[in-house]
Amino acid sequence: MWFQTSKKWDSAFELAITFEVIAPAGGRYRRPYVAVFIEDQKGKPVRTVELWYQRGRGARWLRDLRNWYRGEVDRMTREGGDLASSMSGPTRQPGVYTVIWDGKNDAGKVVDQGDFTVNLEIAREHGSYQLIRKDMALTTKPVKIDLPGNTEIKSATFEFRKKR
Amino acid sequence: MNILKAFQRPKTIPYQFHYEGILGTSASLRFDCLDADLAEIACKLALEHIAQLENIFSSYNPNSTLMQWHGTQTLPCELASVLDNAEDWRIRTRGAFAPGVTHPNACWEKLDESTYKRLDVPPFTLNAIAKGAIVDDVAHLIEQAYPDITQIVVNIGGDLCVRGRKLVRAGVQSSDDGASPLTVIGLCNQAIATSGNARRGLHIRDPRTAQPVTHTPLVSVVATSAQLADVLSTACSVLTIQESLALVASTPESEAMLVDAAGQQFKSAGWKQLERQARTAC
Repeated sequence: MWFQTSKKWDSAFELAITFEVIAPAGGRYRRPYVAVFIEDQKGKPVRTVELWYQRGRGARWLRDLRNWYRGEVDRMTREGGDLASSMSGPTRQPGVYTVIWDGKNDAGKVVDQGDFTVNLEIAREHGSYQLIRKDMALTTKPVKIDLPGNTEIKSATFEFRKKR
Repeated sequence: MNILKAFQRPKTIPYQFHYEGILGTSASLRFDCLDADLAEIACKLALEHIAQLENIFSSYNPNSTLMQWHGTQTLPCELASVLDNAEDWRIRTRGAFAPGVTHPNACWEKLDESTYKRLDVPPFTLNAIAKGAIVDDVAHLIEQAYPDITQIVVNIGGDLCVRGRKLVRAGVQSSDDGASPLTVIGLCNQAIATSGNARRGLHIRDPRTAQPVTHTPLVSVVATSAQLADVLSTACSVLTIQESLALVASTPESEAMLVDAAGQQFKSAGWKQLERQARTAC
């Protein structure tokens, strides 16, 4: 009998999802609605890494997202977070975002190495809706995928890399 | 009837708004209140006010009050007050903070209360200090206009002002948005500004030598106003670590954390207390 032991996510690694939104004409603009989420090979949700939406508005697109529902405290964290909106750092380049997946699932447990589907879903107020999906094998080898842009996103990169 | 419920106030909700393309960077506004419509109205007012102030301070808009100032002119009080603060700190830091950027000398002369004369020097910029001044002004405006908003956080490009009764958590980050913050602190009616070269490269110069500075790649300062935090974080990027800590120690109600090129962290006397406060902050 063969005993197959699956290896846990290597804690030295992280998955960085970087994307740049296309600035609509006319000066300031609202940050888009975004969901970054991970699914396993069977299409089952593993983790909602990041979710931005406007509290107080019924964002219709949210129902297309699996696994978005959270308790009150978590919803605060997802919505740009009391940390993310209260982050002080060197002046950042507008429109460029990096979201990091640490290999934990929604229950906070570290997942096994393996094949996943990484999703970047974006919807802009007075704009369009776009979904970028990519299968990635996340083990112990760095992987970098540059993705073509669309009407909302200038460029995107999914990078499985050693933690910075 | 549950007697406790009779005394409970309804819990406010933190409404957050995130924008890009404000002062050339991103902005986040948080208003805690009971009513989404009120939060939206406050957000609209805040954005309009930011645009008005940008028209005064911008170094990029050729029609701004600052860019239209030639020779001797009467300047609006918002600009005059920032010029006076900038000049005070240029003198106090002996040129480590200087609007001239590549030289530590005066760029204007004050003739009377609201009349200033530009001197014949290379163009100067108020970018760093003006951002903090705008953040303070917007937070103050909303606080005065809407007493039903019990907690305000205004964050433009990392310059953050907190107004209200609560202790609010703020994170200090060096570069990547997604990375965990270097540290988290609790702020109540305070401001924080962070200077660093991680995102825009070696853009901070020592005005006394005109050379880019590299010895302190990250400085984060907490002060009573975002304008002051801005000035101090810029000056501390230029001064040595020891000089910076001395400057902060001599400035009332100010604290700082500095990270040197080797990654070592230096904290002012009261910084650790700010970190402890984060535990009860919201």
